[in-house]
Amino acid sequence: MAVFLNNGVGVKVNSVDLSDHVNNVSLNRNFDELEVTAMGDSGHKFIKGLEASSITLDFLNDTATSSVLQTLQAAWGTNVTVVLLQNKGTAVSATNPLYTMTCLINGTTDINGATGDLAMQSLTFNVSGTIAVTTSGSF
Amino acid sequence: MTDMSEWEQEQTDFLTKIGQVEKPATKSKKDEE
Repeated sequence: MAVFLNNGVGVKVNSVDLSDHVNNVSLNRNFDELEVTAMGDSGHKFIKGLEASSITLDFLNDTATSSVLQTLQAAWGTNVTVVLLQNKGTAVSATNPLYTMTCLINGTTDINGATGDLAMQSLTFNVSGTIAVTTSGSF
Repeated sequence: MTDMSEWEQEQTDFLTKIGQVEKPATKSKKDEE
């Protein structure tokens, strides 16, 4: 393997493939850190707590049927499945794992930007529960 | 890697809990009689 261009990411929101309307993806995999520092320790010590992941997606707005705005509007305020794949054109495998999560769709900025801008929205959705990482299945 | 069957069950339970998915139909006592 080698370094690669990040232009093949697959993005599905509520089973709708919006990959061609997304130009930036960040999968933020985090968990709470619980401090377990105790007497006698000379530095802070932590253990893993609950997962607290999120995703940030930059959408190119489109009002067409089943495109960005309609998909987000239908999902707004609900938890829906979001699926990400590094390389949509390649089968899911150990080198191209599938990331599946349930996200609460919130914080949309349906109308956004200044005159002369491309209509876009950069959204961060919290993950409800955990992110499933699998090396089989399909996008 | 994630155990998908376990993960899917957890998500289904969650969506049922918050009312986004209907609870599976269960037989009432009356039906059993």
